This record gives sequence, C-alpha cells and structure tokens, in this order.
Amino acid sequence: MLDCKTVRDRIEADPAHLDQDCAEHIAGCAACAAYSDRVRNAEWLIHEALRFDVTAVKRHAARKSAVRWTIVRRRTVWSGVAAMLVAGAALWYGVNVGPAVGTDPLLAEVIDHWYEEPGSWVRTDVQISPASLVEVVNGRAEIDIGRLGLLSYAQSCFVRGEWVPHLVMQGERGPVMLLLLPHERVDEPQTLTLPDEGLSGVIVPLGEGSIAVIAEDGEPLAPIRAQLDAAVEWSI
Amino acid sequence: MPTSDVGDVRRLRFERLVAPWRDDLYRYAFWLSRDPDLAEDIVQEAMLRAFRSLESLKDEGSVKAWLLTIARREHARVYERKRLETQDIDELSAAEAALIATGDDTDVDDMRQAILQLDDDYREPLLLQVIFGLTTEEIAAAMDMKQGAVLTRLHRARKKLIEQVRPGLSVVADK
Repeated sequence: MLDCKTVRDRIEADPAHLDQDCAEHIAGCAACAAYSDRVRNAEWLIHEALRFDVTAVKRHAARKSAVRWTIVRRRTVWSGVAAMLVAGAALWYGVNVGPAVGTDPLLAEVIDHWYEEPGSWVRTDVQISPASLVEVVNGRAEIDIGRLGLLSYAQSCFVRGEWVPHLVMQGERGPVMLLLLPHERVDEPQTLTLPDEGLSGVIVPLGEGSIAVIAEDGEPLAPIRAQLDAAVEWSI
Repeated sequence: MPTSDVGDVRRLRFERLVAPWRDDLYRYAFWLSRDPDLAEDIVQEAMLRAFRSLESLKDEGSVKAWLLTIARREHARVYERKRLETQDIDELSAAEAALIATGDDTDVDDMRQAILQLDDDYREPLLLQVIFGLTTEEIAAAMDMKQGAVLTRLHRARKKLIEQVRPGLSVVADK
C-alpha cells in the first residue's frame, strides 16, 4: 500500500496518468482524495494558462511591433571559435577521461542527479524548517537534525524508480549533497572522484540501504559519514 | 506527375498533417522564449523546415514528435544566432503584456505569472505534457533525459506553481 506522500508526489508529477495503486489509495484515503481534487483544480488552471488564445497574443504583438524591444547582436567569429574550442575540449574529455564512475549505474545516476539540481548548490547559512524535512523524509528515516549540522535544502527526487529525500548540508567547503537511498543496498563504500569537475563523493552502506554523498573536492568526507551514521536511521 | 501536381500534393499533405499543430507550436515557442515576436519567428522557420522536409516524414502518426524536434532545434538555433541582451524583467513584461491582452480571469493570469517565473528546465517538460499531451516517456525521449528526471521536474514544477498560486493546497492533512 502506498503512503500519502508517495501518492501526492505521483499526482503532482503526472496527474492524468495515475496507476492502479494510486487510484486505490485515493479511493480509500479522504485526505489524498481531497488533495487530488485540488491538484486537478490547479491543473485546470495550468491548462488554461498554457493554452492561451494565440490570436489575441499575436494581435497584441503586431500592435507592439513598432516598438520592438529585442536587441540582437551578431555572434562574433571569436565567440564561434571559442564555442568550437569548448565543444572540442568537451568531446576530448568525454572520450579520453570521462567521469570516474565506471559503469556502475547507481554511481552514474547519483552524479547525474547532482547536475539535475543546480538550485541546491548554494552556500548559505539559512536552515530549512524541521517541517519541510519531515515532509521530504516522509517516514522513511528518523533523522536527528541536530547531528547533521546546517541543512539548507530538502526535496523529494525520483531516483531509480523511487522518490527519495535529497538533502543538502553545508560542509566546510560548501554544499554537500545527501541522497538517502533506503532501497539501494551497497555492500561496501563506493567512492567516486571527479577531480576535473571539482567533485568527490562516496556511497556508504547504511543498514539495508545507503546514502550517497557528493561534495566539492577537498571536503572532508569522513566526519560527514560519521555524522550520517549517528543521525540517520531507516524506519522502513 | 507534373511538378505543380507534386507541389499540390505536398501542400495538401502539409495542410492536413502540420497546419493543425501551428497554434500549439506557437504556444510552445512562446513559453520557451517568453517573447511573442521570437515565438512567431521560431514557428515560421519551423513550419518552413517542416514543409521542405515533409517527404522525410514516413510515419504520419509521429508527426507531433517530428514537429517538436524541428521546433526545439529552431528554438536552439535562434538562441545560437542571436544573443538577447534584454534583461529578464523586460522579457517577462513583453510576455505578460501579451498574455494580459487575452483578457482571461485573474486566477489564470496568476498562474501565467507563476509559469513565466519557472526555471526553463521545469517549464519545458510541463509544456510538452500539457500542450502536446506527451507521456513522461515521450518527454524523456524528446528532451534526451531519463524518465525519472522528467518525473522529478514535473513534480517540482507543479509543486512550485501550486505553492505560488494555491498556497493552501499543500497543507491538506495526511491520513
């Protein structure tokens, strides 16, 4: 049986294509049924907003054409050359170096996910609220927030078929990504080093699951692992 | 077949297959570029390319994905050719002014403001899902992403929109 948080995440991702499990949960849960109705109401607004009257917009644009605001600048030859050099360097890197994640799909997914969330790479001293942490963790773990230091980001993310908590704590050198993976068992720590990208990390086993940690190169990971060991306990 | 007949056949096929998508392509280009004039440029160019390469469309059932690929490339090409020096706030003003001209109600306008402020990465999969009715698998193929990443972005996009436009929604009590 799915829990409420998972059902709501799925509703928000694809409200028009809910599977049987979700439908059954909604049928038996008044709160999620109410939530679903309200998301559908918001969905109607999204449809109306996106599917605007094209004729009216074009008519307005035509009237304004005399005062076009767009300033266009030709791309210079030098910027073209620079772009080619960058593309060439990227190609060389991809062929000859590549990320040091080998072919392990979990490592690759974790690295991919780092790039998916640029909004989390912020150095800040603003702590998220305990309520938002509770919402994102959604009963998958008990987290002693006091042992983790400053948590600046918490979101649910879809990784390898599961919605998992994506947290960011502030380390000595900047933001540190923590992906809580209660369904991903690893037998021993898997390290990853991406010196050319300035990143390093590790996926550490924790009970039946694991936690992926990615930080800027040079961030001391051992104390973070110790903090995670002390602060996180799976509850599923 | 005489050349003019060939041209007529192509034109009729174009009218039947491609022309019905014109408004949706404009909406897509508008939301991507947030500029009504640029959107028109993108659509014009995309339609022209579609017309010229219509014979390459073998499977008529895939016309939507085929057109989207052309429009996405054209959008990228426009940004490659041109470098827009305008501040974001001006871009938003132009788009907002055009949308206000549609005369829709306040709630819809609020939602449009929120959509305009979404990050591009979150907005595009939403456009593909809502305007073109693509599945998350099709969106992943169109954007060359993993399906999981698409689901995350869609979830995040709706969450942001709902938080902004319907702030009370997220506080429904759990079972």
